[in-house]
Amino acid sequence: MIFPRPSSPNLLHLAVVLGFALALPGCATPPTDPDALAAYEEANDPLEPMNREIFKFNQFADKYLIKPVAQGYVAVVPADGRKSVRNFLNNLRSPVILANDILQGEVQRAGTTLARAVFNSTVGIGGLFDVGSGIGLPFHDEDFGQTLAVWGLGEGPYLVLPVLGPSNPRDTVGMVVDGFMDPLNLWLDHTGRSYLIYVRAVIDGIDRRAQVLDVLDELERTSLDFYATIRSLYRQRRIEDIRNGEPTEGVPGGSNMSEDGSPAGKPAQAESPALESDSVSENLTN
Amino acid sequence: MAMRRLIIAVIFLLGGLAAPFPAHAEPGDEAVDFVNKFGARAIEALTAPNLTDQELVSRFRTLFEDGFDVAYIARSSLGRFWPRASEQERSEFVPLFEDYVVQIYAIQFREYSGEKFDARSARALPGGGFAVLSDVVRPDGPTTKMEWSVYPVDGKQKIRDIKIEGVSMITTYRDQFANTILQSNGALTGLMDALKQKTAQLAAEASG
Repeated sequence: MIFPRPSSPNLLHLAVVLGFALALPGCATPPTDPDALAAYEEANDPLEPMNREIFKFNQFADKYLIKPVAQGYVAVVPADGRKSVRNFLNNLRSPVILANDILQGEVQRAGTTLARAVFNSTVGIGGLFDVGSGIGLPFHDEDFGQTLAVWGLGEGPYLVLPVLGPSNPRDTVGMVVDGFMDPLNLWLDHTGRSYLIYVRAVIDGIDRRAQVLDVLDELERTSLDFYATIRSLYRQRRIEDIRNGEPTEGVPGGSNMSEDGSPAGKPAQAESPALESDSVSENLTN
Repeated sequence: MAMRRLIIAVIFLLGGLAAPFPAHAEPGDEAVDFVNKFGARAIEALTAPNLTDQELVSRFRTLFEDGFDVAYIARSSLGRFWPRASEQERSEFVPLFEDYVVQIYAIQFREYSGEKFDARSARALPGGGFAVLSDVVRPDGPTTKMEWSVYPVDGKQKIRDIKIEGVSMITTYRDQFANTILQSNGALTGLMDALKQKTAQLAAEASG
């Protein structure tokens, strides 16, 4: 929701990523203090120096290109028009969502995706109107990164991709696979209109950026460290996406949270035996 | 996350809700009721006309201290660095944290734009609390799922965390703070300084 998640990546993106990776400073040095080390490991960002450089580049590109374009889009296209654009793009993505629903064994969600695609492509005039949501078939997204997670693959270290933003090896691979499994992309490619793949990806990116104009400004203004905030939000959102919004237990806290500093299992923990999001993350990804 | 807008939206619309509760009381009703009433109170206090920034901040602080388990949120936000903090560091950190949070959210009540709130239900949490679930419907955006964790604390209902689409306020602060502490080699002073500086900067922007 927050992060632009282009639906049509390709090998060029990967090449750019690798090019950046090779040219930039590499690994961070893990701290020696046990708590600091644990916090370092929780952040799951051994490539932080490189990631921060790419993040800076992305902020630059955002400030001078992506954000102004997104602002222009909001200024020029009325809300209803933007909604139709989003509906249309979501509908185009149906085959990829359906495939991932099936690959995750989510029969009911696959049925929802299929029914939505049928209704929205016909009654909804080629997907411009989301009639599915109105009849109890709300939109949900899926991607191959989530499918890999459901299959038990770990996320790997946090990665910031040039232009595309926060990711990790699992989600990067997922994005590429989604791009290749998209029948529209395949058809466009085979009929010599592959430029339309890029057009779609760019419009998708602009729309996603436009949806979070105020939010990102606000986060940047109020964060102690915008980079760390985005990293935290990306990872939390992915866990939520992978769980398909199924509830987690309790309030973050749990071990090490007691008033007097007593270890886990003491009354303070009993008061709130939280399942920490980090442990959720480990359960899901390891 | 659109934390501030959503909080504003939710509290605003909670104010207008005041839905009657079912005749047979469910265990979570009390928590839902609490969130509704707290929201109504908050919106009345924070959207009153002609409030100065100072009044707004002061009113928000009162509501925050009353409706939220500030001590719990503060120490959870410090995560693994709480147990190793000295008494002095803890007593210094909690008010700094509160100032920071109050400064971030209070001023945001100046802006509100048509979000609709739809409270759904409450789900039991371990430890005697409830997660109050709600949908936030934005006029020109997707519906957002919001969850309030409400626990009884010393005989009063208190909010311990807010999750928006799975993004937890506490986890976000904890990740941010751990990052800042790591940057100062595990020392809390770096975080304290950063909080002071940011809060002062936000206050200056608000009044300027």
